[in-house]
Amino acid sequence: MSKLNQPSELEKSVRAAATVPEPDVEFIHSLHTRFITEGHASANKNQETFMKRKTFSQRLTWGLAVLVLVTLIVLSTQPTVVTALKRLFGYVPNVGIIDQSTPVRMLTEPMTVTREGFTVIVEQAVLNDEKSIVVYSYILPPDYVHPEHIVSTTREPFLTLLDGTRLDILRARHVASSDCPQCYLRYLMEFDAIPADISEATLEIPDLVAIPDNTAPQDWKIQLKFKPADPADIAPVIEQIVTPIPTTASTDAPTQSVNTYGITNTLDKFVAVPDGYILYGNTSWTDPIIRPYGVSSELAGIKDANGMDILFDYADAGMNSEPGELRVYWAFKVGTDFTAPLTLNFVMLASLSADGGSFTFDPGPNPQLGQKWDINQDVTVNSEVIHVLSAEQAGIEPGFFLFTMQSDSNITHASVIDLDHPPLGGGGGGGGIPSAGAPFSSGFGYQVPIPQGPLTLTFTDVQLLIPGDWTLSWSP
Amino acid sequence: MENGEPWQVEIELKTITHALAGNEAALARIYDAYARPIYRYHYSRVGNAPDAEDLTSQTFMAVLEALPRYQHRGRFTAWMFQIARNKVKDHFRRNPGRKDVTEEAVADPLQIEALEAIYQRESKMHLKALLRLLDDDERELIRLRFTAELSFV
Repeated sequence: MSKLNQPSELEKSVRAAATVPEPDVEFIHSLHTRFITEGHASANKNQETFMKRKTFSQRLTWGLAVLVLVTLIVLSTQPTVVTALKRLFGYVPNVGIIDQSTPVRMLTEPMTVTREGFTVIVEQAVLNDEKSIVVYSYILPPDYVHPEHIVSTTREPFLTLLDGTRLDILRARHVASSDCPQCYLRYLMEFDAIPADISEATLEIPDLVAIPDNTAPQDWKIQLKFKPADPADIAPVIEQIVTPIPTTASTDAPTQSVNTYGITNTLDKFVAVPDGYILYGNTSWTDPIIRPYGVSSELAGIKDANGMDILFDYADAGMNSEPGELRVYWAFKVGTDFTAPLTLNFVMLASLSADGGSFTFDPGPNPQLGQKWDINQDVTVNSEVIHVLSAEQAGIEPGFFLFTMQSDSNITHASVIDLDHPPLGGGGGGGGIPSAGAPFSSGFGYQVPIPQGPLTLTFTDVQLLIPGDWTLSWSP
Repeated sequence: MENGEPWQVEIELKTITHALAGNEAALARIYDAYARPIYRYHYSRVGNAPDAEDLTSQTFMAVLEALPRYQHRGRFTAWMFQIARNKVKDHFRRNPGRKDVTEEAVADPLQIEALEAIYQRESKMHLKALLRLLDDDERELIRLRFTAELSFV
């Protein structure tokens, strides 16, 4: 390792001052079990709900709703229309944005049931003509111990109406439970609509979600009663579409045209919550060369009218892209301490398949963790040059090589793979929001024993920084 | 990972995809890669093990919630630590009486008995006092670099 890579005295001193103890082994093990259990259960649920996506008629309904919404927004300079828009959608904590164009009903009160030390709380239900949403959380007994070996075969919850009708779950997901530290998790479920003349139902939970088998009571039955929603329980959602037309993308060479792939970044609406505002928007693109989820709008920062940096949190966008949809959704939360308008400064990134390009690298017979190699090869990828500078065997296990690269174009990241050898892993490095011309790293992990060189790494994807002014201005 | 070595490995898209599908090995890989750095980061902010453990748990549960919406740009670590930072912010918001330990007043050095300990501690305290002169972003860099062991790459 070169001298430059040795920690300086200052670095040693700062490290000493910043020293923190290692975590308790039992805690790490316990959380490991929980993470995998819940990850497994969550994946099962994602797969199940994916298969039960909206029917065509539901999509048509939504399409018409959007059409009506857009029409209304065109007319939104009229105060009466603005008032109507405020009523169209509402925000319910832990549920998200709901359609209140038809009568909305909610739980008369949260329902709590405790059995053998486990407490299940049905916190909220929101019913309208389209669907029924039920949110429950649960608390584990203080002495609960996760089993060493996990088998979790969660049976789906369902609703039973008084006439015996059974409503099966349509989709479900975990939702944030940071406001409930004692909660093990919080779970949101969607069912078909419950007829308006029915005001009671039974939520049946055969297995608590994400709990290993035979470690918790089963077959929970919880009576739910519904009442017309109190307007005070639903925050208004303000439709406020902000879609700036991106300025002509410019580069250092003013005459060079830059493809922006039909990207549009839009702020759709906001919700005023007690401690701030949640801003909702989406980024869409028209060029199919960029695959679904291929564009990322990174919020680099927010400034208020006085130029002050405004802190923000990531929020649940409440919407996922449909399969094949060239659109991603975003949501951010800000506080109340600012002077309007806020300027949201986005950085736009797009990922494209690489059209080839490769470089060779020989780690030698006995590569060591931390060892570095100079590569210094220029590779043309998608008509741009990537300088492959160096490699390092880095990380937490042998066989993982991190390649440092740089491009003078707008390429800010690239992925590589060795087509001749099965990977152990890959990925890339670099924190923060990328900038053009900055070095970046890309990794590839070989299975041990590491194959003998020379090895050939082929580019698979590149990430581009899309030039342009992607700022959005917003006022509550 | 050796203590003191910068932590540079990022999780690849395939691992994330497998984790989304519930693959236990992929979930374990993510957890094993990040559990200790995330814990150390939280500890550096809250200064006690119970809160650090709680925040670490919350972070990993939030990761499961957010993973389906994760957009891979080869910067999984930045994404993970943004979630961790949000959890810390929520923690201080919910518990206004608790202070970020990097902003707390230094302890009384007279409580330290051994002269050597006093010397070492004063050196550390002096440095900590200097660290407190940094702004939030600069302190965050120090935390990520020296407690979570992230690299500057």
